[in-house]
Amino acid sequence: MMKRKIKFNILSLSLLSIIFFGTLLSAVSASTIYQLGLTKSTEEYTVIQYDDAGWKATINPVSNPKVFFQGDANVTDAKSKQTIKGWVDQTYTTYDALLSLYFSLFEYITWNNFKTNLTAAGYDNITINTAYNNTYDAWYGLSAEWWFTDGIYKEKPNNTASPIIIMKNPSDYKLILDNCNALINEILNNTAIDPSFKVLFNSFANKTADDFLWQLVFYGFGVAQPGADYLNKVVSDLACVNTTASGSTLIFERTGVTDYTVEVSYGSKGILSTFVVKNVGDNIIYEITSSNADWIFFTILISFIAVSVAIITYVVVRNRKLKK
Amino acid sequence: MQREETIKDGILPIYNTIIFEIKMQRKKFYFFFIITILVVVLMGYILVLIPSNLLADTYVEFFSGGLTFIRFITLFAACLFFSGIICSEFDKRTGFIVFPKINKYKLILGKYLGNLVLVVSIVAIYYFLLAVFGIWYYGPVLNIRIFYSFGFAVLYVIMLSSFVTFFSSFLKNVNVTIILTLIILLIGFNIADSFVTLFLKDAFEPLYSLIYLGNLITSILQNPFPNPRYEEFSFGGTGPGGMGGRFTIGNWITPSIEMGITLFVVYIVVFFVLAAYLFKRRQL
Repeated sequence: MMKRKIKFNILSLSLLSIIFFGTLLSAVSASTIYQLGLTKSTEEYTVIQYDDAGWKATINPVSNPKVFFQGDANVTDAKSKQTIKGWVDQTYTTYDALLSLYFSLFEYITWNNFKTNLTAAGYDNITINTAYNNTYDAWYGLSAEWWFTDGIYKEKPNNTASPIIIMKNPSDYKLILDNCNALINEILNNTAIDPSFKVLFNSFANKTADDFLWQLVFYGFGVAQPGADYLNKVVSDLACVNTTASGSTLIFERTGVTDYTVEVSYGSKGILSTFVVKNVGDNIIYEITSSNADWIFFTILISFIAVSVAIITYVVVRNRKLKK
Repeated sequence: MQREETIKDGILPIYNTIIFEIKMQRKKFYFFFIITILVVVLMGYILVLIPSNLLADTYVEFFSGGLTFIRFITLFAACLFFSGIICSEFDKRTGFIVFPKINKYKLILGKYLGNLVLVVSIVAIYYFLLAVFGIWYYGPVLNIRIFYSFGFAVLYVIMLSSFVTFFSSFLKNVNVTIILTLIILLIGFNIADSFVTLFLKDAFEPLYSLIYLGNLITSILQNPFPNPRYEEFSFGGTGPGGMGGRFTIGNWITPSIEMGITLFVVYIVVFFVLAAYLFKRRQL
């Protein structure tokens, strides 16, 4: 009897410590106004619908969804997936934010090519961070990404270090945009810098809030929870003109061949959930939705527990009957 | 009809012994069952809860990482479950009965199979739970190499069990068998492997080592399979003018698949034949 009690106590203690440990970790990540929704798991994306003629008539006659997503993104039923591997707290300086959030790939390459000229003119990370001394706290997530394919997935991901960036304070996006725009203007007005470089650099001066947000969507922009409040705050702080937030969805009003809208929704994990492109007549030209296999795990787990309980009950009842 | 009855008479005592042995060893099984669950929960859930501890890129890599402790569990299980198979018969003097109610070989076979069922069940539970956690993180992407790995894990258990059974056939006491086999498997082979790799480097592969053969359980999961299977790490050269001595540490990663399977089978056959021979001699 005594032995049983001790065994029971040890088991209870182990279970309690597991639960406590899990709760503690959740509490640590829930210490700010906005909470991180990321969980280590996999989201699968499927191209539900793609109207090639509609795309070409609305957005661009010579492009297709591959401009937004890698792989066979222009094939209906093509699938891609993203596995969230982990995240850390990260503090960005203005220089970090400039390179990793503000610049597009082309801008980043241009900056790197002219880095010597910029350093010579006094624009290295130290001087930039001294002049624009704000810091921006973020959750920096890392994910493995399998690009869209209409066949079976490759065993190894196409990208093992795809970022997910979530600013802890949504107002920081506005601060980053203002600081980076001011910095670029300052560089353009600096007479010490090679004018030929300035001509190239001139094309990406004064990024608008809409363009900045649109660019971020494809750079691993993530949302803290509650998602609706967070998105609303980002859009209102940035004072976007052609972008609105509706619940957990960002709605971009854009112009190609004709006007069109792009609706980007974010799920409870804070990453992309659906991506819908609509023409002026509100007809869907392109649609991606996401799903996950959490239900399979819980089905297996519940079945396993149910079978275990059934076996234990059967053994206990049988033993009691035999003893009687 | 008569033939069927003969077969039934031949198999029934073994079956009854298996059931009896499973009941006898159930407490050990419960112990290992709990340990297995705790280890898998630790590897597949608790550690993953830490945000900065990155999840592996793929399901198979996650599985490979999670199998870190499978060899420890199988090793201890083999030593604890199979150590008493033969020597306990002589320890309790039942092995000397001149006219036993059951054929002694059938008794030993039944005891062995009963324990094997329990240990393979522990391995299966380990793989199953790890697979379930993998599905949670990566979705249903089971890979055929996981089943190969399970196959090698079962072969590894059979090989270890044959090794322990062999020791059980000539040692007098269960506890001595457990301690001796644990020392040989945990310390002996590792020391021998270190010496062989240190002195002979890539000239001699430690295929004699049961522990080294167990590397196949995880290396089969790698895609592509490790090639070359021997690797060397060099360091040094930091003396005056960068001319310091260079030190090299070698490591055999895994046996080849063909050689591994062959040696698993060879060791299993050899240890069982020797165990049967010694058991027969001991009765005389």
